[in-house]
Amino acid sequence: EATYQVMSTPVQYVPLISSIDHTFWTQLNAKKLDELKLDERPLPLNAFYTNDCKPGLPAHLTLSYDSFTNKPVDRGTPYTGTILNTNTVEEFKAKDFGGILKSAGEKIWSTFHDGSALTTPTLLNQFYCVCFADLKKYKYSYWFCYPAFVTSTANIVSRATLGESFSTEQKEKIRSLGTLGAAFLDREFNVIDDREKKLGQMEYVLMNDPSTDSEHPGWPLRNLLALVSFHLDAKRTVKVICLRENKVAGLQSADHSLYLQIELEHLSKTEMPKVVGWERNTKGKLKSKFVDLSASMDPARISESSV
Amino acid sequence: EIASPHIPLLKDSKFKETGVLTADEFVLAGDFLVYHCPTWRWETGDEKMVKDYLPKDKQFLATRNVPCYQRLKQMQFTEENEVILDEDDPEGGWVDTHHNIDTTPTKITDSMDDMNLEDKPRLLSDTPVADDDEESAGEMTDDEDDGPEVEDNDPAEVRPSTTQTDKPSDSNTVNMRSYDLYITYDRYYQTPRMWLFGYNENRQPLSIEETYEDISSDHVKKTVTQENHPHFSGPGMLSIHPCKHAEVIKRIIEQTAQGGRNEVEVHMYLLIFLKFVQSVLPTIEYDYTQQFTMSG
Repeated sequence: EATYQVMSTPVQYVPLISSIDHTFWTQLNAKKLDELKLDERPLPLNAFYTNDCKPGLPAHLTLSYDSFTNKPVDRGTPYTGTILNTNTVEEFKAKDFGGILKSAGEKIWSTFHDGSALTTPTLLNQFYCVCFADLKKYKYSYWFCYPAFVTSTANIVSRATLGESFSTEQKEKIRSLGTLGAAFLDREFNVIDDREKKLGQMEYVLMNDPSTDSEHPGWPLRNLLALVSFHLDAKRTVKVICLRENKVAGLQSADHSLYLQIELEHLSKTEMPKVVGWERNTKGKLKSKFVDLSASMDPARISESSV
Repeated sequence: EIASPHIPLLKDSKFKETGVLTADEFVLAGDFLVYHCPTWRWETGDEKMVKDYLPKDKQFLATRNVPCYQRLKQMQFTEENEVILDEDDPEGGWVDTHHNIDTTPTKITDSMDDMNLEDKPRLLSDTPVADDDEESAGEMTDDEDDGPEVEDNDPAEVRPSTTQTDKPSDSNTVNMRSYDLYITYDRYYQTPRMWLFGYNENRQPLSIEETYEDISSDHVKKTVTQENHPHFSGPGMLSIHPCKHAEVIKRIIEQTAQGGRNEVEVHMYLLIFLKFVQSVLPTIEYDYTQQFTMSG
């Protein structure tokens, strides 16, 4: 009785939005003042997303007080990144944003070639943050990118929900794999860990989905599908589970997760596709963002408003 | 910090008599909350501020990006939704304004459909962010044209603006606020303590005054105050002062017992706590489970 929507339409993806809490900026201030000083070396960052945002919310990528620690954050699906923090606003504006994106794409492209992304699909979840922190004024200019390949090899041929497509037992099995972030599954929902057999046995592509949109999957699926296309010899339809969790009538449920059948074409191995992924600002433009925390971080401002 | 080291840690359970919690009971109640409401997660916080009386990986509870779809003044209060939880309180009691309101996702979407243009939370452009007079030529804002920009042609990106026009109930960018909420264990009052930090729809932090718009007027500047978070360095954060928490919880335990229903057990503490915190933060849509009913 499932209400499958039959179609053939190119897959579109809901982009991630950086959701940086004030504790992150506090840590950046401390790190810059006490440790880095004028050092502009790129530093590793850890972020995460969850698949249980309420409907209507954007797909948040969260950075917090523990983003500078070396271990991946375990409060959701990890995204690993690099922060390029400049000393002046001029250096920030003059960064080679096209070049950053291209080299980030090359890094991901190499995981396609050496097969490491097949074994560890979350290697595809990468981001860059270019930043200028005006430490004395508690103002920050920053720009995130989530590198993704532009391909025209993926078309949705049917769309349904998890709830109407699988039995209770199957759904439980699928939900138990959510902690992986992304995985390739066989017919019985077992994770395929043998790289050689990967595509032959693959029945499902599973992704923890940060999107809350009822039609479109989230950004992390984009490189995942490009990876599958890259390793295909011929056209093939794959079943994609975009796992989402939410509470319905007091009970945790994944029934609203998207279940897509996607037709994939072969992607050329010789030439790296174009890379996109700079985040839009609040006006919807592909431009840097800005945050002013003086009202909550500046000791002078706080004493004015304290109660 | 209020909880100074010389205050002895509560060892034995006094929950039923006085409504307070030991640190171990806080962890127990936290585990129960996380199980039933997984958007709440245990966190460690700043490593330098770890409290030895709590497990390192269970220092406090947090839930992030919690939506706040409308301002308090836009809410429709109806009598049948209000239940005074603590009638004898000279301060007027904790009014449970959401008593019968179902906040399942469907309902939230429905109510967003109902909102007309006038009801929408105000946009950033209406809200002066900071001291504009101090802006110098070297600084940038999102509005300015001199920020770096890249070319824009990606057919596979879902554009928030397009979605918003077509389907306001399911858009990627709705004009709403969001909150990060934290529950810590207050060693002095031996109860949980709620902290909040809000952002507007453009993820700009809310000022204290703006945050007050989402706090019940009975509690602004009385029970809600700004203090240092016990697990983060940096500036203070708004918090619901815990001086009355034990009393309220104790009353709820007594009322439940008198009502002849199942006894309130200590592991349910945080669900009860979050239910009565709704009277302070009625429009912040955090999860505290739907299956739990307080007074039938």
